[in-house]
Amino acid sequence: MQPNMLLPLIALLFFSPIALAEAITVTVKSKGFGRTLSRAEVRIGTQSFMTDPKGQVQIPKQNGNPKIMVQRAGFEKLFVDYKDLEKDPIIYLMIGEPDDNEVIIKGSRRKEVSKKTISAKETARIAPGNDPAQITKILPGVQTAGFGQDIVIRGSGPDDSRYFVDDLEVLNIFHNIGNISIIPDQIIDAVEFSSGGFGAPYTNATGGIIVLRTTSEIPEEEVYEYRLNVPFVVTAFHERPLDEDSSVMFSVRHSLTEWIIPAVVKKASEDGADVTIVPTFADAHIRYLTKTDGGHYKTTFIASKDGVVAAFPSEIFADEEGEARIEFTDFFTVLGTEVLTRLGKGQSLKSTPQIYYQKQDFSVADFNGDVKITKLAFPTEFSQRFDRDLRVYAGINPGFWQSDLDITSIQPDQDDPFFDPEAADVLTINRQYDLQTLSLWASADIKTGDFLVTPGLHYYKVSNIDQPAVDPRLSFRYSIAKDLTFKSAVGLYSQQPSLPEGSKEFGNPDLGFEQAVHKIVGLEGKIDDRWEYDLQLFQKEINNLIRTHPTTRYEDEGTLAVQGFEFFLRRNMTEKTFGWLAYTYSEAEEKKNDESPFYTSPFDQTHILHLALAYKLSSTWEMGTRIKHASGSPYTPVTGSVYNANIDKYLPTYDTDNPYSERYASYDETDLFFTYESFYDEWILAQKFGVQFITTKKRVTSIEYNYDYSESRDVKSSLPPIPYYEIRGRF
Amino acid sequence: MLKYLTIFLALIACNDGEFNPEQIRETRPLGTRTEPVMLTPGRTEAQLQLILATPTGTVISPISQTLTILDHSGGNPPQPIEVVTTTATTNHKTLDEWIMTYTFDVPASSSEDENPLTLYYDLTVNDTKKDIAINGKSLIYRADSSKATWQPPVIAITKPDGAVPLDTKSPLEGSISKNQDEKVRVHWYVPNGEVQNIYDITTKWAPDAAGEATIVLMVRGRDSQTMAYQFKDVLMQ
Repeated sequence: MQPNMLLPLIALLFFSPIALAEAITVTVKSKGFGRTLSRAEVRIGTQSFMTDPKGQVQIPKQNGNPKIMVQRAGFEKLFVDYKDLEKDPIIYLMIGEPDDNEVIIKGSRRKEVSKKTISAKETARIAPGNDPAQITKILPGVQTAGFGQDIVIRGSGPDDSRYFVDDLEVLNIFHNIGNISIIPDQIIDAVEFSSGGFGAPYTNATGGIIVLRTTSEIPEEEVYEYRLNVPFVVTAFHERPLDEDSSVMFSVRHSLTEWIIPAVVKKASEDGADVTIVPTFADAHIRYLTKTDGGHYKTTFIASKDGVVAAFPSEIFADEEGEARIEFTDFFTVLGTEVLTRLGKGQSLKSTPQIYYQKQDFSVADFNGDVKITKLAFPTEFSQRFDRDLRVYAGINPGFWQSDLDITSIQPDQDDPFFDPEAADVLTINRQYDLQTLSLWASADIKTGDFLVTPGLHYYKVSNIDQPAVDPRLSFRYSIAKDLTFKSAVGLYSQQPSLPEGSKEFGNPDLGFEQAVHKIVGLEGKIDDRWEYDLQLFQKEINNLIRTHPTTRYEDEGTLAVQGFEFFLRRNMTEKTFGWLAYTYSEAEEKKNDESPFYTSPFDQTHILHLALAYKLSSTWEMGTRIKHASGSPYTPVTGSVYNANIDKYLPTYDTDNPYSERYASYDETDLFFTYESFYDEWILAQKFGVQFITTKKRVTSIEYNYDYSESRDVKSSLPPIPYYEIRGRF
Repeated sequence: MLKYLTIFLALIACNDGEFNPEQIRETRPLGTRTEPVMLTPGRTEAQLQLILATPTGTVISPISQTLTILDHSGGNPPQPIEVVTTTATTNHKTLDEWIMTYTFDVPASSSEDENPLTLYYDLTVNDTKKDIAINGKSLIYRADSSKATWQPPVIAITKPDGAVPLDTKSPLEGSISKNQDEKVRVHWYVPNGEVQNIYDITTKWAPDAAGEATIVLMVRGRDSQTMAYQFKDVLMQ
């Protein structure tokens, strides 16, 4: 037979149905994730086959039971018996040992001088509670305020910063317990944090900006995840693609405290304790994502509820049973659609119409309140890139607020040292406030050689304040060398009074904007691919600061001055290691008006040091730690007391000439945690266990006084080292 | 709203910080009351009485007393009034009961308000170790107001009614009969040991020292600002 006649025959043998019948189709997947793996090598003796994009490969039928080797970069090599493959032709490859040679992800380039972007993968390694939003608490420039979950940014209180989920503004991003934010970590793509000097798009904040950026990618396959974290929360999450261009996500979380705490309290009550505080929370999320040519529609619904019920011995607001009861609920929901459209070459338009609804209820003895806030906003941003060196941005955001107050409450007098809550005037308020706001802003990135200059301007008008705020801003970057950049920013930032501060009943309707000047200079650079650093000196002065006043309740005559520096040393993430060192030194002083002297601000905290580190011991084991050392917070010392016969109680007198002149002792806290992942064929069981609040110097949270304030002692964080356990199944 | 809730919480939370508030180891004001029970405008020789409990043998001296009356009919600030001070003492087993009496005339008022006048008082007494400052206010109602007939609650310590065992939680209970519909404030004082809830009329007490001693119950009407109290000697063994 001629050789050229043999070729068709060989081809017929290999590619005919007869030949296929003599082969088996093997699918290679990643163990635990169940994803098919393309370009995996299947080797039988000297024959080698590669999986196709669907993770499949056909291998010829074998005689006997040869060993088959399967391997792929990043996965452990696997040997299987041919006979086993005949029975079950799916091969699962285990993820390989972590690699410490390649930096796998970094935060995106940041143009704003004080902005840091931390990716979700990075936050997952070191964030408290594995919650991405909590990562902000271990960044430079951030303090935590007292027992609460709120954060203080460069001396500005929690109410002075703004919080966003993409472009949806929310009241806060943290639940009140458990290191848990209002957004499930599964849909967070990155956390953006600006501790000052932020750009023109933002206003109504003198502190910082925190944005939780959610993912905008269509998942390859559906995901189910169930999580139980004792003693805090239970979670159910599901995300699935609907087609190539759209997906939907659902998530529900609920606290466990309402079941666990009463059981614990019942036991404690039998032992004589009679204080009950039950914090609770829940949230739900739905997201529908559709990709379009060059853009997307992202519709997001968030509902979040926090509450607390407290009952404890007290003579205030109690009857002869001597128990006071407080209930507080804060619920909000926001619904918005982000529409991102590419208009043309270098042009894009992003608009996020949204509606926000918030309802707060409180009940303290005979007093109760019901506050509803509805807000409509239409933030829209246009950007035009002219060439590599010039890009302009402009935006508009009209907002419409409606607040309904139905309150029966005492009239508070925060400056009265003899304030008697039971003898105070009772306010009954049932009224509606309407407010309109308008933001207009423009900015540009102008690059000239090694310089990048970003001028910006924000115009902000609020209907109940006569004069609009006009805030110019300027940031500047200069590349001194390839891996070294000098940067600087200066800008004006305005913030309107809060609803109570500006209300006729509780505050002063004549208040204007608080106005802050941020000044920042710094250096950022790379030591090598793994190590980066950032040094910033900052100075902030907030004028027209709103503070309490004995006759008008509030006046905007104060000044807050904050200065200091931050150092951030970051070890970029490899599969094996990730972490950083963050140190902040700051001094914060304020005064009530031009005539009064400066005194230490209540949010002054001189030294804050964070060390966070995650290290992967193997493909299944990871360990991590967070170490914090911080100065104590200042407080105003008590100088004496007066027995108030009406309430049968001593009330303290304070050293009002020297407010916040004493300081709690410095403290440290260490969290240590381990994660172990068990990889099953199509799912992963992750177990995390750790201990929080290991300390050599407990945090002093307050000063406790005896009945007549003649004796005192530190109240240290009563939290012992708390072990926790989380089990998570991802399918 | 959170700020106001914080104020509430801060005020109430103070109660958790009072270590050993139930034990009388030094001079303790129990409260104030007036005679007659409800003052009316134009009343002469009215009395404000400050009740104190002290360890036996303590000597109390009045240091200063400023009583002012706010007339709601005008825009004037509270006006000071003349006061005559007297003291009286009653001895109990381990405590002395001191009554500081401040006698004054209540002015008349042209106000048509049900509450035409308010009495404010700032008192200071000394027990040879330190000064103790007391302040408060008392609403003065028109004679034809129903509130002018308010009376203090009638109280009695019902338990313990015998010897109290040491280091054991035993009932500490009282009875309260209200003369008008109002909430009341309860305060127990004991010589030693711990009371489970000093603001609860029905609570428990675990004394930790033997002997005979005095306990005190004080009850105050929240609206009427009327006051009742009882000293009772008990045996702990």
